[in-house]
Amino acid sequence: MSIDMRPELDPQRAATKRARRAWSPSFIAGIVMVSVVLLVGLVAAVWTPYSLDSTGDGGRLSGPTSEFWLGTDKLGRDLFSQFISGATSALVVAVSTIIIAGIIGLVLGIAAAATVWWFDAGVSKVIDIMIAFPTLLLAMLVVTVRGASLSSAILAIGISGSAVIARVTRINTARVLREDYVRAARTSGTGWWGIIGTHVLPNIYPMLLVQLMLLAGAAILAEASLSYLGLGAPPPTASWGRMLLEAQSTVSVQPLGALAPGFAIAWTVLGLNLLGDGIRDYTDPTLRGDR
Amino acid sequence: MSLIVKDLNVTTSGGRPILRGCSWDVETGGRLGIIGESGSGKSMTALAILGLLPEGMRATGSVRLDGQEILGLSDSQLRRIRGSRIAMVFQEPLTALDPLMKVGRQIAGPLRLHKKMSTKQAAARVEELLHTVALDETARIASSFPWQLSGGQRQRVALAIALACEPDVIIADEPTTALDATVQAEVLELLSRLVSNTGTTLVFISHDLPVIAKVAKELVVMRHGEVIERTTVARGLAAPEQEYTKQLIQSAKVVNHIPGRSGVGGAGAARAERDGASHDYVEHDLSENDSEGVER
Repeated sequence: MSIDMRPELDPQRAATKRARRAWSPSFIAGIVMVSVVLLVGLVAAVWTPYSLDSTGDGGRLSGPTSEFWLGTDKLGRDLFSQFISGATSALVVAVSTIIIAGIIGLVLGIAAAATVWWFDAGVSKVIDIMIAFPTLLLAMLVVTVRGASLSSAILAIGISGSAVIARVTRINTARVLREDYVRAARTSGTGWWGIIGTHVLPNIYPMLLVQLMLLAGAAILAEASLSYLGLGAPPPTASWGRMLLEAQSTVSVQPLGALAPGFAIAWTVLGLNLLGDGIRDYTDPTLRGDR
Repeated sequence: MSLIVKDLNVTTSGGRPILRGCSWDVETGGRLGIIGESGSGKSMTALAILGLLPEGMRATGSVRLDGQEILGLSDSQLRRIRGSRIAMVFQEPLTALDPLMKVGRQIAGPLRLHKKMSTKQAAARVEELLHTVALDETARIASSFPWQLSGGQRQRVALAIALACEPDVIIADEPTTALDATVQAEVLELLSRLVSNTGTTLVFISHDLPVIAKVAKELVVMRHGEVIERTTVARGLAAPEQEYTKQLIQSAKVVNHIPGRSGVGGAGAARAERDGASHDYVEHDLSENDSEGVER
C-alpha cells in the first residue's frame, strides 16, 4: 500500500485537510447569514422605523421610497418594518422550538436508551408515530384548541420537533452507552447519572447541536407555512409567512411585498442549514486534530 | 485482600451457560493468572465479580472479597466497591478512555467519586499517580486527550486510573494485548512492580502464556466456561496435568520461535488455528508489519 493511496496518514497533510474542512466557506457563510438575522431581529425587537399597525402617510401599495424602503402594503403599512420585525418572530420561533424540542427530546431520548427495554420500545413507537404525523396537521389541531397565535405555532412545532431530537438522542446515547469507556467508568464505580453527565452528554452534544440547528430552520419554515395558511400569529405580530399571504393578491403591483419575505425565509433557513453542516464538520471526531 | 470465587455460574437470559462452576482463590497480595482462549469465559468472570454482566445474564455462586460476599449486592453497594476496592484495567486503552475528556480529569474521576477529593487535591494526586506509572511531563499528559498519547502512554493512564483509589484487587483483562512487543514488556514490568510495592492483589487475564508467566504466580486455565486446571505458573509450565494446558505451552513455544509472517501457513499454523491465543499473536505481528510498511 503506497502512501499516495492513504494521504490521511501523513500528519501534516491531514492537519491541513482538517483545518480546511473545519472552517469551510459554507460554514463561515452560515455563521454570517445567521448572525445577520440575529442582529436584525434583535434591533427590530426594540426599534422599527414605523409601528407595525400604523397605516402611515405613505399611501397604499407605494413602491420603495426614501421613507418606506420596501414600500407599503395594501393597507398602507410600512413593509420594511414588517420585514425586519419578521426576523424577530423567526428568532422567537427558532429559539423557543429549540428549547421545547431540546428538553423533551433529550430527556425522552436518554431515558429510552438508558432505562428498561419496555420503556425504550414504547418511546420508540411514540416517536415513529409522531414523525409520521405531519407537523402542519398537528399545528392545525393546536390552533383549533388554543386559537391562532405565535405560541400555538411554537408549541405545535416544538412538540413535533421533539420527536426527531428524541430519536437522534436515543440512537446516539445507546451508541455511547455501548462504548468501552462507559464500561470502564462503571468498573470504577460511576453511577448512571455520572455516566450521563460526564460521558453521554459531552459525546452526544455535537450531534445534538447540529440537529437543533436543522430543527430551527425547519421550525421557521413551518411557522411561515402556518402563517401563510392564516394559522399563525395574527397582526400586529410580524411574520414573513403572513407577509407572503397578504402580498399574494398584490404581487403584480408590489412584487417586493412577496420577494422580500420569500428571500428572508430562504436566507435564514439556508443559513441555519449551512451552520448545522458546518458544526457537524467542525465537531466530527474523525476530523478532530490538535485543536 | 483475598478474593475467593466459589462455584461461579453465569447463564444468559436464554439459559445458556457461560460459566460453569468456576472456583479459584487468590490471597492478599497474590498474583493469579487466568488463561484461556477467546470465549472461554475469562472476561465474563471479571464482569461477574464486579456485577457488570451484560443485561439479562445471571450469576450464581459466591464471590468473597476479604470474607465479604459481594455477589448479588445491590448496584449502589457494588458502586462503592468498584474502583475503590476492586479496580479493572481493560485490553484496549484507546476505547476504554473517553475520547472527549482530558486524561487528567479521567484519572481524577474515581478520586472525586470515592475519596470525595476537591479539584485541587485530585489534581495533586493525579500528578503523583502519573509519576507512579512512569509518565513524565505530567502536566502535558494530564491536559492531553487520549488520542494525543501513544498506546503505551494510554495504558499507563488506564493503570493510573485503576490505582487511583489504592484498590485491594486489580483485575487486568488482557492489558497488554493491544500494545506492541517492547511496550508490552515495559507495561508488564511496571504493573508487576506496582502491585509488589502496594501489596495489591492481582488477577491477570490473558490468552498469552508467556505474558502471564511474567507477572503471575498462580495459574487458572479456563476452557468453554470451566476451570480445567488450577496450579502455579512454575508447576503448570513444568508439568501440566491437562492436555489443553500442554497444548497452550506447546503453541506458546512455537509462536515464540517462528516469526509472525512465516508462522502463517507454516507448521505453526495448524496449532495457531486450534489455539486462539497464538492465532492472535500471529495476527498481531502481521498488523505491525503492515503499519510499518505504510509509514515508510
